[in-house]
Amino acid sequence: MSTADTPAKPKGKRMTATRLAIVANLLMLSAIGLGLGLIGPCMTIIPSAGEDLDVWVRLFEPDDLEPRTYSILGGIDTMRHSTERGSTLVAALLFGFSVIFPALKLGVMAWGTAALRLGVRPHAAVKLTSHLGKFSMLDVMVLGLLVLAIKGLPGDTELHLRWAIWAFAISILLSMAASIALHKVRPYRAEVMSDQ
Amino acid sequence: MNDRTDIPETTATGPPKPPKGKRAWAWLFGLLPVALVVGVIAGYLAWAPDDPTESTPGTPGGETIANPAPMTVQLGRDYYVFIKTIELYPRQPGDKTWDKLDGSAPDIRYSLTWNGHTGYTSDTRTDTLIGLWDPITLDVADALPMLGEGKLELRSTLNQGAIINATDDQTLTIDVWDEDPAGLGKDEAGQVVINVADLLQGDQTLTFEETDTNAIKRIVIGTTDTAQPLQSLIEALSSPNSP
Repeated sequence: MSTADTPAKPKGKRMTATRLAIVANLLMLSAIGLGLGLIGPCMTIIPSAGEDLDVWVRLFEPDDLEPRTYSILGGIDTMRHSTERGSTLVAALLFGFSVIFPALKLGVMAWGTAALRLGVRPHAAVKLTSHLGKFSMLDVMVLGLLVLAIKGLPGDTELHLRWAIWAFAISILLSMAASIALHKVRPYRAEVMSDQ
Repeated sequence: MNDRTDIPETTATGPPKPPKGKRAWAWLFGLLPVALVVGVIAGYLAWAPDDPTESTPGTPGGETIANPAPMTVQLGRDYYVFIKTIELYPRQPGDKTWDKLDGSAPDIRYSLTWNGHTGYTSDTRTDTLIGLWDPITLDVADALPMLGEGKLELRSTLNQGAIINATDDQTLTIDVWDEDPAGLGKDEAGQVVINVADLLQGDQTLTFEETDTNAIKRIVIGTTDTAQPLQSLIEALSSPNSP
């Protein structure tokens, strides 16, 4: 088909297609970041009871002072196995807001993006995305609380953040960027659809 | 997208309905990020290098750092030598029972002889085939007042072994016996002679066959450099007994 025969695409439609492609790429990158953030080393805890007491802790409970590295999933699993009261509930909450919720959010946004791109009316997907957006900072807050809790441990316990925490944070930022871009696309697409 | 078939069909009763195939594709695309998350996790578990300090699912608290490979003692240096574990065979040499009076397990005791002199004789572990000794003993009644004054000398608590100097041509002899009740003497369990130069730093497990003159099944020896810093010394000595 020659270019002369091809009808020119409306400007709004081209913009929409480009934006949707960007959103789709952001979502896929965010998913990769989320996977790495959940399973990679997230933090290393170097326990210490303080300079004066370390010698005694080493004497009687040497294992308590060994450095330990946790991933988000590993930490949740450790908490699930803990005998402390209420730890299963906290593990379930953490699992919900740091694993299920971000993955679900990405899935719904991808569904909405595909629906817009394919010309399917994305009522449910877009509505669900805007509902999920209200909770989009909860996963970040859970992470922050976790770090604060460990920073507040007594003694000279040190917490070293590892690369997975940055992968997780970048994943959340990318998903937020995708969400903003997706909501900007919606009016253009609605116009294009109404043209059809 | 510009084909005629892409345009939603208009129905008489409501808004145009999208083709079913497109809705299915939208759903499938929605599953893609979830599949990516699961795939990345599976790939990481399959190919990522092991981190010895990393907590793994099912092992609360994570694994501890692996111990370094054992090294032989350095000639000319002084070492604490401790026996942490002695396990005996169920019958004493000559296929005799241990305690003839009541048939109970032996009361294990040992001594360490270096350079022709017995440097240490242990406490007795009664009625057991496996005797465990801790290298460090602390009398709490003595320790607490000293702690209040802030001057507890930890080296004084290392009183469960012998101090030897590592030389090329000398041996360390471990005599093990069953201590019989007062006045009845002792039943030899066996004797182990080790070249001092062959001792390994850290814990070392030696196993032996049962013979007419030996009923020692296993000995765990701890060897620690006396010159190392106190904290390292405590770490070395407070490692649990080997299984």
